[in-house]
Order: sequence, then structure tokens, then C-alpha cells
Amino acid sequence: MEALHLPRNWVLGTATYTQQSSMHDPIKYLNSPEWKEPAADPIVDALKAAGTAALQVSEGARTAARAVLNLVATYSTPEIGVEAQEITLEWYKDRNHVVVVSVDGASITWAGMVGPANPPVKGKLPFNNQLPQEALEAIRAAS
Amino acid sequence: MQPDIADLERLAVFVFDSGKMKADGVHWKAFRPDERGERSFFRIDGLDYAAIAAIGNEVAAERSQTLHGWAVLRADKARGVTPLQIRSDEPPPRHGVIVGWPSESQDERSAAQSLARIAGTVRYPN
Repeated sequence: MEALHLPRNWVLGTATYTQQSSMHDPIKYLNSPEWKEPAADPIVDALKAAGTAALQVSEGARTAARAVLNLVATYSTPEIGVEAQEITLEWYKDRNHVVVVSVDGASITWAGMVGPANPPVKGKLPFNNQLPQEALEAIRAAS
Repeated sequence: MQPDIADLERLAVFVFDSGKMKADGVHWKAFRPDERGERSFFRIDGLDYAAIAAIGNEVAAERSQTLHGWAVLRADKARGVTPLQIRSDEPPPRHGVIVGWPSESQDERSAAQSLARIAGTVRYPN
């Protein structure tokens, strides 16, 4: 492909602008890492969608939600929401395979269904950057 | 109607959010209590599809929402979801509420998921 060459100097009104960087190939520049948009942050997106409700969510809850997302990165992407002081992460396959995990910065809760023949699972524990085994198995079932 | 709800009565929980009508049934969030700690239902024994839809559309109009369908619960099955209770709450006629929701969020979600699991589903195309 023929390289594109932009002028090094151009004039707008009475001002003359000089190109500071050597951008001989704009296509190459636009594909470079510094031009790419930052990766989407689903936690930030959920907080934005929640509007003023997100004001009740602590920084600790955000950190905990990111930790949970990192712990389950190999599973399907949950639907993230905000409820009161909690950030919720929901995996839904069907009504018999569903789980909601929530974090508020101090604790982690979960409530889910792990199959039509199995009883509901639920619980609450202090959050220490680990997923309770029962919650993890429910996520696996609903992914 | 009689204030006592019989075990075999059918109860309709109307759905006004299309996102809560899932392929396999009604999403559990449709059963969650409102800010008063109640989930409304209508007692539908003796009513056909058109009559039930008429009630649902009336409720939808009051809320400026759209009816997308309803979940159907049998009273005894709903009572079996501990610690929930059901009771008549007229007016309007046939109206009732599910009360006794747990205060802990995981317990409340679990109860709503349990209702979703035992509910039948009727779609109302728009």
C-alpha cells in the first residue's frame, strides 16, 4: 500500500502549525496501542447505568466486584447491576441455572439455582478475595 | 372474593418488562417485592386468557407500562417457599400480595428464584 504523507506545516487563519511528530503513515499510527480506546470496564458501565443509585456504592465494593470478575474470567460474562450498597453479578442460563453474587466491600453473598433437582444455594461470608466454593459451582452451572 | 386463598387457587404475577420474559419462563426479578415489601398478584381462578389479560392491561395502563405476560403460581406452592406468605389485598377485586420477604438480600433473591422456578408462564404478545 502506498504510504500517506501529511504536510509538515499548515496554516489556519493567521497561525502556522508545525507537525511535532513524524506521522508519515496515519494508518499505522491509528493502529498503534496509544491510539486505541481503553478496554471497556463493565463495573464502570454498570455504575453509570445506575445513575444516582451508584453514589451509595463504596470504592471497596468496586474493588471487590473487579476481584470477583477476575476470579471468574474463564466463565461467561455476568450481567452487572447496582442495588443499594451492593454491586451484583448475575449469571443466567435458565431459571434452574442462575446465580447472583453481590459484594458491598465487606462481604460477599450469593443466591442461586444449580439444577431442577437440587435445592437452592445461598450464603453470605466476609469477602477475602476468594469465591466460596458453593458460589463458584453455581456460577459454573449457570455459565 | 373470599379473603382466604385456597391451596389450589392460581395466582397471576403480571410482567411489564419484556426483559423479564425469558425463553424458559419468567425471570426471578419479576417476583421481587416492591418498596413496601409486597409482590402483587391477582387470583385468576374462573377467568380465561382474555379476562386475565384485561386485568393485566388495566394495571399496565395505570402504570403507563406494557403487559408482556404473566407468571402463574399455585397458592400452596407459593406458600411452600419459606418464609413467604400470601394474602388477599382487595381492592381492586382479586388482588393479593406475597409478603414476609426476608431482609437479607441473598435470602430475598433466593425466595424470588424459588418462585420463578415453580411458576408457569403465559405470554402476551404486543
